[in-house]
Amino acid sequence: MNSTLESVIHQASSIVLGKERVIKLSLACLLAKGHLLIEDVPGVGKTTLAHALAHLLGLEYRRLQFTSDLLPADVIGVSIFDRNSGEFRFHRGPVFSQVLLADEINRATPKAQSALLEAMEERQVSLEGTTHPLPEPFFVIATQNPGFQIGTYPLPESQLDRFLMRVDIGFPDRQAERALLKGEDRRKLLSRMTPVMTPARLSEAQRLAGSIHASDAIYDYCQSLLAYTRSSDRFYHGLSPRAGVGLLNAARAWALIGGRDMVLPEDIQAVLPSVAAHRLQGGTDAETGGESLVRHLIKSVPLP
Amino acid sequence: MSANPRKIPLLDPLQRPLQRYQELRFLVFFGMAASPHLFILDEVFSWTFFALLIYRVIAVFHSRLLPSRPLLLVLTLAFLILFFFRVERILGAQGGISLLLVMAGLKLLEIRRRRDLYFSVLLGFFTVITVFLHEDSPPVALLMLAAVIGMISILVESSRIAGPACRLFDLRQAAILSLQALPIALVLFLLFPRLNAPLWSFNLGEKTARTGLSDSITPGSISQLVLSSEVAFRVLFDGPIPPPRERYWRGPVLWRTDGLNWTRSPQMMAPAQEVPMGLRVADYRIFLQPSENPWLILLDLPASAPDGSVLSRDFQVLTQTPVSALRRYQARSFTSFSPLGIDPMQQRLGLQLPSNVTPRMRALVAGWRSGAASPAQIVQKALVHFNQQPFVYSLRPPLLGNSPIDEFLFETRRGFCEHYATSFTLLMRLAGIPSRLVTGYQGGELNPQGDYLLVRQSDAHAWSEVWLPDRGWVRVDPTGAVAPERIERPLDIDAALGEGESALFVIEGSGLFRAFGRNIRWGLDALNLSWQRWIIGYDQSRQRDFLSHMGLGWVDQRLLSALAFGLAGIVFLILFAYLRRQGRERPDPLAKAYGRFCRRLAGIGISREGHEGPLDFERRVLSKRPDLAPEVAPIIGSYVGLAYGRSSPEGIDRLVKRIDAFWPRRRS
Repeated sequence: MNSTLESVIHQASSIVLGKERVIKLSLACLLAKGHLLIEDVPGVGKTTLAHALAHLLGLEYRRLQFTSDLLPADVIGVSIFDRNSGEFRFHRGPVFSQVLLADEINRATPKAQSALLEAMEERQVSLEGTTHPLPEPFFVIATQNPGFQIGTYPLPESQLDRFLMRVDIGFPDRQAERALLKGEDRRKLLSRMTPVMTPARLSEAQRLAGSIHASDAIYDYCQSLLAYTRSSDRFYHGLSPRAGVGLLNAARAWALIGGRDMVLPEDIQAVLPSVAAHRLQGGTDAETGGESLVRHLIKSVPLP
Repeated sequence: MSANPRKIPLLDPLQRPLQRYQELRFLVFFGMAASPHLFILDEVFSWTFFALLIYRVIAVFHSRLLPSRPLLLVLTLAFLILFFFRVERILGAQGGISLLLVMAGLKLLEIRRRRDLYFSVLLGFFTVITVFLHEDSPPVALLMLAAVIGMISILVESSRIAGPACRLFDLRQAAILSLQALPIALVLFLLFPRLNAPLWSFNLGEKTARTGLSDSITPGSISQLVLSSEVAFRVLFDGPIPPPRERYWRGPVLWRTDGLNWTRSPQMMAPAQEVPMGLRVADYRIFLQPSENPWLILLDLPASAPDGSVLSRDFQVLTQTPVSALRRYQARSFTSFSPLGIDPMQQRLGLQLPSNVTPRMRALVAGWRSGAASPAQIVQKALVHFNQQPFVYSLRPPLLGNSPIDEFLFETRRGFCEHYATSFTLLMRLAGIPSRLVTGYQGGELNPQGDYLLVRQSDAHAWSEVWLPDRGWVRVDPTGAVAPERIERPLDIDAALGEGESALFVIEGSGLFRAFGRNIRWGLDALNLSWQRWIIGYDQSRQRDFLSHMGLGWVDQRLLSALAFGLAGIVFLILFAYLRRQGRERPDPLAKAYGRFCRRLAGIGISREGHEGPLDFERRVLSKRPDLAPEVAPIIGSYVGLAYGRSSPEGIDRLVKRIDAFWPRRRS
C-alpha cells in the first residue's frame, strides 16, 4: 500500500512541481475521508492539483465553476417533467460524482454554497421527498481565492468547519518554475498518465488509515491541544470536537503516508496547521492569522 | 449548621447516622482514655463526666434521650458557671483537664453522625495526651495504648463505605497501623528534643499530698510513714551493693529543737565548703519517686551533688524546686571517709538545747560523764543504757505529753527510731557532745530480678550524728542498740507492730504461695524500674549520652529542635503535595525514563522543546551530534514504539536499561 501511495505522490509531483508537502497533505485529507479546501491566488495550480489527485486515484471527476449567479439546482440537479413518461425525472447535478472540484467556491452566493455544503456533510441529496445517495467515495475539493479579493462571499466559519483541511499551494520555487516553463502543458501530461489506484484500492487505503494505532499519549496530546484553544485568550473560540476527530484522522492518514503504523506527535503537528488554521480566529489580537495561531498553539502545548 | 437539608447529598458518608455498636465502641474507648483523670479531679467534675458517659450509653438504646441543641447550650453554660466557681486555678493543668473532660462529656451527647465521630476521636486522642500530664506508670501507659488502638479502629471502621464482615478486623487493622507507626515513634522518642522541665511538672500536686519525709520531725511522724508501702526510690549500683549496715540513705539533717519538734537550720543549708576524702566509694543511679520535697536522697555520705542540686554544709542534697516528677540521677557516695571537721556555727547549733530539759535527764547524763574519760565512752554508755534498760521497739508507742523525751526515757520506754534518735541526740548535747539528727531511709529490699535496691517509705529512718574530737562527725544509730534486727535486715512490719492487727496488706499464706507472690511483686517492680529507667527517665542528659554513644555528640538541643521542626515541616509538605497529587496520574516509568534521557541530552547542551516530538528531537540531536546516532537512534526508536505504539513491560524495562546506560559527553 505504501508504495502505491508513494507512487501517487511521486506522479502528482511531476504534475504540480515542487509541492510535495501540499500533495501529501491533500492525499492525507482524502485518505481521512475529508473534504479539501485549496486556497490561493489564481494560477498557482489549484485546479491542476485537484485534477491530478482525482485522476491518479482513479476517481470519476467533475468540475463545477462557481459563479455569483449559480443556483442550488446547478449543483445538486433538478427534477424535470418528462413528457414521454408523464412524470418528473431527477436530473443529477455535478455533485453526483466521486470527486467534485468546486472551483472558486467563494464566488458563489451563500445559497449555492450551502447547497453544496449540505451534500458534503450528509453525503446524500434530498429533493422533493426523495433521498439520493451520493457515490462512494465522495470528495469535494474546493478552491477559493483569498478573501480579500473583490467579488467573493467568504465562507462562514460553520461551513469552513466542514472542510477537514485547508491548504495553500504558494508560488513554485525558482527551479520548479523553470521546469514548469520548459515543460509541456500540465493537462496534456496528466491525460497521458494512467491512474495509480482504483476506488476499491482507495477505500482499502482509507480503512488502513483508520486502523493506524493512536496511543493514550496521543489522545492526551490531542486533548491538550483542543483544551488549550478553548481556554487561552489568544483564540476567539476553541476547536470543535469535529475538528478534534478530524485532527486525529488526518494524523493517522499522515502516519500511513509516512509509512508508520502508529501516530506520533509529529504527525499531529504536521497536519495541525492545515486542519486547524481555517477554524481558528485570533481573540484579543485580531491581526493574527490562523497560521501564526497554530504555530503559537504547537509551541505552547508540551507533549505529555 | 442549620443548612438546608436538601443541599446535603443523601449519601454523604460524613452525614450518615451511626450504628449502635459504633457509638458503644467509641464510648468504651473514650471512657478508657479519660478514666485516669477521674481520680485526680475534683469529685464534682469526675462525677459529672461519669454521669454524662453513663447517660450517653443509655441514650445509645434510647436515642430520644439525647438533648436538643438549645438544651445542650444551657447545660454547657451551667457547667461553665460551675467550673468558674469550683476551680481555684482556672489556668492550671487541673482546671484545664476538668474543663476538657466536662466539655467532652457534653460533646458525647452531640454524637449522632459519622462526622461527630471523627471529631470526637480527635478529642479522645487529646485526652490521652493530657493523661500523661499526671500519670506515667506502665499500667496507665498500657491502658492508653489500648484506648488509642481502639480509637484508631474506629477511624478505620468509619472510613470504610460498607460495613465490616468481622468487627475484630478493624482492631487488627488498627493494631497493624500502630505497629507501623512504631519506628517513627521510636525515632521521635530517641531524637525529639527533650524539655528541661518535663511536661508533667505542671503542678498537679494540689490535691495529692505525698507520703514521705518532711523537713521536720515530731514524734510519730516517721511511724506514720512506716505504714506506707509506697516506693520511695530505687537504686541501681554500678558496683557491688553495700551490706545492709551501710545502707543509710541521707535526707534532711535537723539541728534545732524545741523539745518537741526538730527542724533544719537555714545556716547549714549553705553550700558545703569542705569535701570529705573518700576511702571507699559507691557509684549508683537513683530513681527517686516524686516527693514534692526540695531535696534528693543519697547514700550516706554524699561525695558530691548530682546535676541541678547543691550539697549543703551538713551534707544534705538540696534542689531548687520540689521534686514533682520522677527524678533520675547518677551519684557517688563514700561509705568510708576521712574525719569531717566542725566549724563554730556547727558547734553552737550542735549543742542547742530546748527549754524542757528535766533534772532527771541531766542526772542521767551526769552519771555517764563522771565515769567516762572521753566523749566516745559517753556515747558507748548511752548505747549500753538503751540496750540494757527495758526499752522496746514498737510502732505503736503510747502518746507522749509536753515533755516527750523525758516521758519516753523514764516512763514509757516504748518507741520507734525517731524516739531513740531524738532522745539520744538530746542526751549527747546535754553531755556537751555536738550532735545532730539525720532523717532518711535505712536498708532497702534487694530485688533479685533486677539486681537493684527497692526502698520504700516504710524504710524511713532517723539516726543521730555526733562529733567526736578525733573521729569527726560519726553516725550513731541508737535504734540499732535496741533492735539490731531493724538495721540488719528489712523491716517485717507485722513483727515490728508486735501487737494488734497487721497494718498492711501482706500476701499471707504458707511457703510456696508466699514465695510465688513475692516473685510476682519483684517481677512487676523490676518492670517498673525498667520503665522508669528507659522510658520516663530518658531525659535531656540521657539523650545526650545516647547521641554521643552513636557518635553524634556534636548534635545539641538546638540542632535537634531545628531538625524536629524542619522534618515536621518537610513531612507536612510531602503529605500536602502527595494529597494534592493523588488526583493526578503518576508519571509512568516510560515517561520518567524518557525525561531522564532528555535531561542528559540537555546536560550536553541539546535540550528538548516542550512540544518537540521524539523524531524531530532525534533529527535535531543527530544534526548537532551525528556521533551519538548509534545510541540515540535505538533509544528514540524504541521509545516511539512504546509510547505511541503498543507498549509492553519488557520493552519498557529494556528501554529503561538502555537509557540508564546512556551518558552522553560534551564534545571536547
